[in-house]
Amino acid sequence: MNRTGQCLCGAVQFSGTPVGRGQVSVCHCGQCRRWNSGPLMSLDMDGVVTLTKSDALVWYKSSDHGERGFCRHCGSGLFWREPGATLGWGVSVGALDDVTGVQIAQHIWIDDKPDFYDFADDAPRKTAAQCVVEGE
Amino acid sequence: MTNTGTKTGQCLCGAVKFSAEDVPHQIGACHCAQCRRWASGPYFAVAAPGLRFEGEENIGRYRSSEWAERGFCKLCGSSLFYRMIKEDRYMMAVGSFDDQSGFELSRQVFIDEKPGFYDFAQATKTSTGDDFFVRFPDLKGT
Repeated sequence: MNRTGQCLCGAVQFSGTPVGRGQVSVCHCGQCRRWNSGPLMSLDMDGVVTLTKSDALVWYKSSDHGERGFCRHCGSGLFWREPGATLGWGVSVGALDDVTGVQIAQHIWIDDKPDFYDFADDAPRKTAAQCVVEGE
Repeated sequence: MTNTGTKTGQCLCGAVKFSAEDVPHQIGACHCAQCRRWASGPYFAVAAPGLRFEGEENIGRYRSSEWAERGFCKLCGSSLFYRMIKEDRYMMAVGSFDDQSGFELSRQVFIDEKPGFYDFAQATKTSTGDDFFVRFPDLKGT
């Protein structure tokens, strides 16, 4: 199912097809939480994410393994990808126009999660070491 | 209740740094659609009295409503704060603090805008969007 989304101000807009019905990865690593205030909730995308409006999109390379796309007008955090990758993007769930049918598929970097929050679902929890082995 | 004392923080790339005095233990999570578009999921916020910035020239400010603006780092895109303009009240991004020990999730706001696919395990106070406008009546209709 194709999904559309945009940043808060509308200067960046996109469409794409998530894996399955919409599998949300929740990343608790310190980098994601510095970027977003809390965990990054991203949808794993299948195929290319089409940028229908992208003049304000800026990429910040946060490590050798990843870069983060945001809107320079409103500061919305939108995308995560391997540096320069055209496939395998994670897309901010909050940026979607409609989240019907999405579900949490996994929690990653769970050992970086601070104690003051927990999610109530029973999706698999993966440590940083497990994520590195699996390339996440 | 005592506060956590002086705390420091920064964005992901370090171009913006800040310190705040008397940061409370109690933090909140906002589930409104604007916060979730901005931060992928709920916005984790804490009050920050005595706030001081370093690298303030690297802060972008976006006016997201009549009464509030959102601050972010122009270089790395990190969310930094939600600020109620008239009150000059900053709600800092919890994830940007260097030391997050002592924080407690005590309140969830705009709970009526939370989508069904996630829930927190913590029992907290909750309030709706309508409750927000009861608390800040001047903002109704703006």
